[in-house]
Parts: sequence; structure tokens; C-alpha cells
Amino acid sequence: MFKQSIQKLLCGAVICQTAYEAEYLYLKAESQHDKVNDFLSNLDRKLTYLDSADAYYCTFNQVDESNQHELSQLFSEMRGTFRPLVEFLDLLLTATQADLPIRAKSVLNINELFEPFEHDQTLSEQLRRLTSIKPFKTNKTETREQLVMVFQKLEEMQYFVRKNTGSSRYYATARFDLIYLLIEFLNDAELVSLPEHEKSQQDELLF
Amino acid sequence: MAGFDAAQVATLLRQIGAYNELLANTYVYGSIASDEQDANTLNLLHKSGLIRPDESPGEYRVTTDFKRMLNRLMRKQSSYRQLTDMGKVIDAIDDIAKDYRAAIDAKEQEDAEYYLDQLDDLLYEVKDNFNNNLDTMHFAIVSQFGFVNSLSNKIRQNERYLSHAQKLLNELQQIDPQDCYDWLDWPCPNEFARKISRFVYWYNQILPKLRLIIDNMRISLFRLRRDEKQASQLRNMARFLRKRPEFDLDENLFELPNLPETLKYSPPMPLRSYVDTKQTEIEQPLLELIQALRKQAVVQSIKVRESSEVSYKPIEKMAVEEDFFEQQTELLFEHVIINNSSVSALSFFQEFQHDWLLEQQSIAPKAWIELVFSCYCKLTSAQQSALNIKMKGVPVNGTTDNYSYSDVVIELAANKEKLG
Repeated sequence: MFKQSIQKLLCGAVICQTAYEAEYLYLKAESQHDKVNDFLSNLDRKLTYLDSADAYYCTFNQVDESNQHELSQLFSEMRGTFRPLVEFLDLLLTATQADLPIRAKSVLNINELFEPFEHDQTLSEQLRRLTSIKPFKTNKTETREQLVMVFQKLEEMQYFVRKNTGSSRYYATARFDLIYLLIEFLNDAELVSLPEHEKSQQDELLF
Repeated sequence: MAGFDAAQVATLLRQIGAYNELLANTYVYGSIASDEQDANTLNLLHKSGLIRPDESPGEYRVTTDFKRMLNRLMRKQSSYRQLTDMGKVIDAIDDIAKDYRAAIDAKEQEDAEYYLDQLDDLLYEVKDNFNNNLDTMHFAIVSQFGFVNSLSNKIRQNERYLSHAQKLLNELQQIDPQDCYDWLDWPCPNEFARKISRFVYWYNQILPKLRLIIDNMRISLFRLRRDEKQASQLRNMARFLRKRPEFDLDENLFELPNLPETLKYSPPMPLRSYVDTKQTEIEQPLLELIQALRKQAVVQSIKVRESSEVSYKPIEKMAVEEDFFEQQTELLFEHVIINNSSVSALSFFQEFQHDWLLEQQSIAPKAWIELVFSCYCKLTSAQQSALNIKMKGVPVNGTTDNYSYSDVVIELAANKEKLG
């Protein structure tokens, strides 16, 4: 399992219970965690654990000439998908009338989403707009087909996994949590100015 | 030892059994209207203390005692709120312990047994109450407060449960096990000592359990608040992005010094390896692999496509047709050059008009003059500088620089200079 875990991590996988259960359970054992981390340190990487999503992935130690080009490429891909992903998550919140955004281990049944999207014109219009931009761009005109396309694309991008190909149940992976992490960072680092009133509650000291 | 005989209890239970559906409906739906039932039945149940009249006339509810018993047996969610006042409990145990000791000292065996029974009930009730409380709280955490739907209500419930658990902990901490051992500080019978020491044992176990529950509740509250924060930040970000379509993430985000470790994803590393063909151990699997790949490559079905022909016309060859009068203008320019004299377009027209007619070519004099002028304009700048054009005309009445021309004269530039 050491080999599989290392391979997945080096290929940029986010290992969580939903996406790669066997590797996740392997890394969960502290001794294996250290072993993998020691190995990765030889490659200027380290094993990072995201507590809020209960997930493992590889992070870089420093930026230098050896990795600057690749990092720039990776982050520019992220720049390209950030806006459509935020749009999608917000759209889903409205469609499911939930107050909790989807994240690692959430389960979504696409069949239950067809109805709200087909009956609410605002939602279908927003979906149409979403499917006119990358990475969800499609020529499909039916709302149902557009939604299926978006979910398939997200599965391809490893945001969702399915237990079998024909299933309508999509399991969210920890990749969604990384988006929230980025939003939080942008907010905290004041790279964007989000409305204040909603923020006050978060800053409250818990204990 | 409850002070009632078994027959009395059996009568009550029989009554509950006989009117089970009526009582169950009253308990579940809150009340029952008297017109739906026989008045005698309702009176009977009222006398037994199972139901009581409601404030609105003609309606009955189950009595508080009966409801409490059912709540307890049905493990209703609300029961977690029953807070055990440990101060009072300890006082009560203290009283019973004293009464028991007095009865034992006076060798009043039956009374001692009664007190022991009371002590047993009391201790059981306390333990049961706490255990029940803890179970309910444990269930609440495990189910993530699943009995309410919205996130804000979950947070509110979590806060309530947490404060209740903290109160329970405060209550429990009032007990000093040493005080309990003081009740045994006399040559007491074994069963009494066993009850008290079991209570102390339970107490020592329940305390860390409750602390663990409180810790879990804090974590759960922290998570719920984090979820709430996440949701509101997501909504705000979506709103922000809609308002600012030009916004994009910083190109050098990965170089920012304050970027958290968790956001420093490393780029994927392409992994490849080559086969060492000299290794005999891998010969067999390698062969199998090649065979498998060959098999795949065999069948390549050709797709049937629609076909159609493209037609085109061959390029036509056409002879260049020169304009007759354009050739004549060239003749005019030749005259000027050969004879080194100025030639008027109009006089040239008059001179050659007859010849042109013989060749069945005709042109109006105005058109001819215009043609000469336009052919002069088409000459290269070198040719134009060698030939001069003189326009013959009169100014148009009422204008300063507009002329009405009647002829053009072509002459050699050098000739003009000579004339000049």
C-alpha cells in the first residue's frame, strides 16, 4: 500500500475516505504516515493532512527554479476553475435549499436535482450560463443533459466519485473542502472584501 | 414495600391496558375530546389519576405523573433537560442513611428494610436519570442534532445541550466521595455498604464520561459554526464574483508568504518507468503483456461514412481584348513624342474620326477628351513628367476655381520648357 499511496500522492490525488479508502486507511496509521512523509521529503514534498476534511495530499516545501514553472501551471489551472466551481456550489445550495454546502462524504442523488432545475427558470438559466464556460462548456441544450454533463465533468476532475458507473448517487471528495479553504484564505488575507456582517459570527471565540 | 398491595397495582395496570388506545392517543396528540368517548370511562380514568380535564372545557389530557412515566419509558428527547439537583439528592441519601442506621440500631428490621428499599430507589433513579441524560446527549452528538434540520437550529440545540451538560457536570462535582464513605463509618450491614460503594463507583465512572461528552459537544459546536462560516463565505464569494466579473485569482498565489501550508498543493509528477529487457524474470509477464496489446490492435472496424462528389469547372482561357480607343490614345501620345509637338485631343479626333468610322468604331468627342485625360492620369509618374497636359477651358460663372473644359492638349515637357 506504500507504493500505491506514494503514486497517488505524487500524481496529485487528494486521498480521503470517499476517494481512495484503502490508501486513506493506510495513511491514517501514524507510523505509515511518517514513513510516507519521510519518502516525500526526498522529493521536496510533504504529506499534508487537512483536518476539516480528513484528507491527505502532497504539498510543496518551497518555491524555487525547479518547481516554479509547474506550480505556475497548476495554479493557473486553479484560477481557471475557481469561478465556475464557486458558481456551481452556490447553485447547488439554492437548488437543494440546504444551508450546508457539499463537502467530503456528502452524497448527492442527481435524480433529485432534475426537478428543481427543470422547474425553476432562474436555476436553469444559471445552469445554462455555467455550461457556457470552461470547464463545463457543452453544446447540450436540455437542462437535464447539462446537469449530467456538469456532474460527469466533476467526476472526471475527481470532485465526485461513484460506486459504479451507472449510479445516480455521487459522493463528494475532499477536493470541495479545498475550495472552501481557498475562499477562507482569500477572505482572511483580505485579497477580496466579502461583506462584513456575515463574517462577524465566525470570528467569535468559541471557548 | 411500596405501601400498596399487588392487587391495587394490578387494578391500575389493568385499567391502563383496557384503555390503551385512548390513553396512547391522548398522550401522542396532547388531548382528547369528551364527546368522542363515554363519560363514564373518562371519569374512571380521571379518578385513577391517569387523565385530567384540560383548560378548554370537554377536553382531557394525561396527568403529569403518567406523562412523565411514559416520557421516561419512551425515552423522549425532552427528558435530557431534567436536571438532577445533586445537593438535594445527597441530603435525601443522608437522611435515609441516618434513618436506616437508627432502625438497625433499634433492631427494627422491617423499617430498616423499608429505608434500604427507599435508598435503592433513590440511587437507581439518580443513576438512571444521569445515564439517560448522557445517552440522549450522546445520541444528539452522534446524529449531529439530526432532529432539527437547519444549521442555525443545530447550532442553537448544540449550545443548549452543551450548557446543560456543563450544568450537569457542576452538579456532579458537588459530590465528594469521602462524604459518601462517611455513611459507612459504622458496622453497617453488607447490603447497605454494597449500595453505597456501587454508587461511588458509578460516580467515579460517570464523571469522565460526562467530561468526554462535553468535549465532543464543544468539537461538534466548533464544527457546526465552521460549517455555518463556510456556507456564508461561499455565498458571499459567489455574490462577489457575480459583481466583479473581471476578478481573477492572483497569478502568483503560490508565492504569497502567508499562503497556508494546506493550500500549497504540489504539482503532479509524471511517473514513468522503462523495462529492463535483460531481466529474465520479467520475460514471461512482458510477453503476456505484448500478446494482450497485440490482440487489442487486431480488430479495427472501419467506420462507414457518407460520401459525395465535388464538381468543379475548369478555368476558362480568354484572350486579352484591348480597347480600340485606348490604343488610339496611345497613338496620340506617340504622335506627341515622335513629332515633338503638342497635340490637341479634339484636333486628333477630327483628324482620325474618318479612319475610325471606316473601321466601324465611333466615339463621342466629349467621351474621347475624357478618355485622353484619364489615360494621361493612368501613365506612370515618369511618363507623366515627360508629357504635359494642358486643359483648355473657361471658369464657371459664380465660382473661383471651377472650370468648364472643352479640350486637352498633350505636349512634351521639354518642348513646353522650350516654349516657356
